[in-house]
Amino acid sequence: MENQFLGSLAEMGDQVFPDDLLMEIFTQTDPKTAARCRTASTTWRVRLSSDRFRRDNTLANIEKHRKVLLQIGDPETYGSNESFCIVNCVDGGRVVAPMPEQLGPRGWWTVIGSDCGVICVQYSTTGPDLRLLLWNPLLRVARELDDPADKLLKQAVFGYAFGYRAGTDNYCVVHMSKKHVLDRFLHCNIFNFADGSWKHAYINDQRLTHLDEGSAFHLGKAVWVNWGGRSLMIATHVVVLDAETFLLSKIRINCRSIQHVQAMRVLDGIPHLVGYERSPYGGLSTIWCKIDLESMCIVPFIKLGVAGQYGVPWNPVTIMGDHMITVRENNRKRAGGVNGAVLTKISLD
Amino acid sequence: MGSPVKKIMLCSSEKEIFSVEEQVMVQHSVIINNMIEDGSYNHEESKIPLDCVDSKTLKKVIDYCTHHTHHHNDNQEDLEAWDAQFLNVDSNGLYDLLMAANYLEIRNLLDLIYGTIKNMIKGKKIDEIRRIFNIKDHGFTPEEEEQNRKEYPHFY
Repeated sequence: MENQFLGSLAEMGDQVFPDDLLMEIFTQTDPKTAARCRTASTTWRVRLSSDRFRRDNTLANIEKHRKVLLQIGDPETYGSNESFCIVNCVDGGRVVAPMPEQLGPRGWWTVIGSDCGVICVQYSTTGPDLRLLLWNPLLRVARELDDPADKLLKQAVFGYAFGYRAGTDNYCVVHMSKKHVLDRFLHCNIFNFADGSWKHAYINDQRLTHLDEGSAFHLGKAVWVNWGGRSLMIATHVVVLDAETFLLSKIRINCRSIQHVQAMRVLDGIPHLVGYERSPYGGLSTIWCKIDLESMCIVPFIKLGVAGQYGVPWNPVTIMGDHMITVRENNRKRAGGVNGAVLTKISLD
Repeated sequence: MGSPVKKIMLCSSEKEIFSVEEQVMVQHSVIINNMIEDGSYNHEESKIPLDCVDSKTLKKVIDYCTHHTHHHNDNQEDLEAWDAQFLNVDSNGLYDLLMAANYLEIRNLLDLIYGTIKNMIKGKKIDEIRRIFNIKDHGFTPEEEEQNRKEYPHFY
């Protein structure tokens, strides 16, 4: 039955699809098909690139494609070989995703990021041979990249990011490093799938001290949190690097809007900062801030008395709808050698 | 005995006349609903001319509306199976149906056809998409086309 539709829909020569019908079809398609149709003709390229179409298409897909890839368990500590899961954010169903064969039981690996169903992993099998791997668990396609990091020198500041540029099929891997905290220059390397090669630039910035391992990629920009203070425990800036122009900008984290930043997490494709606050009336309040890259500011939301109910520091993993998933270390179980983290769901509504 | 079922006349592009229960069409088609409501339709003598819908397509559209009026209480699976069977037509038929549903503003049918077309183009290569939508002149210069091919090799 599928095959007979392969004929042209409008074979009759002068039959042309009316624009409004076409746009309605495209609005409902998934972003990948839309990206593909964008290269089918010049007229479509203009129409399918409009802001209005992008917005409508995103809205139409927001419920359908909310499958995310979650890394569960810390591979470095626990040596688990089934660490990728596909989680359906609508019903919470969880399926174990296949692992690439490069990430065997030996060696070390860490996830840099995942976007559009592709996971970017940094790994090594023997000693200091760091490599990057892009893995699509659904199509089971792996692609290896050279790691531009200087493998022999211990680096003071470094950060990786991986993501797709919105609305295209073009991904970027970003690497940023600094040999010494007092160094004047940041080394920036960006791998662009369209170019197929690494590009390099130096950026003059003395004030970056320690970038978070967690990164996000949004609107063609890579985002990290820069930690400062005496023991590098205070989040001072959100560091934003434009993957196209190599422009580095920083958003100061104002302690009046968010304190005790715990981590940066991505919600609906938009990076958020998650933290808590000691309120004068006892207990802790959860704060999460949207990092708005269009206007370069952070917008805080506060939920009183939520984070305090467990009385211990927590590591927020993700926000799904009205719930925040957090991980708590469980020392007793950890000693037993099994996955020592407890997943907790905190209601935010 | 209740009052006899009210009928309306629909006239296809071949001037063939179809008599349908009024309720069926009013419920599904925004256009016909408007016509009946604003009183421009006279049950004794008027017929609604649908010049851009041929008899074959009109018959299918009426089938669809009738089925969905009388069977809307059926379980979802049966309805979906019926819809799949209903859309088992060739591509020209699908195109005609789309145009008719658009003309008569039958929302459910439109959504059904959109879904089908969406599935047709999903994961297809660009050449196939061009063929499905009958794009003969895509407007790219050979250089641009080459650039596209280089940039998105997996689209082709």
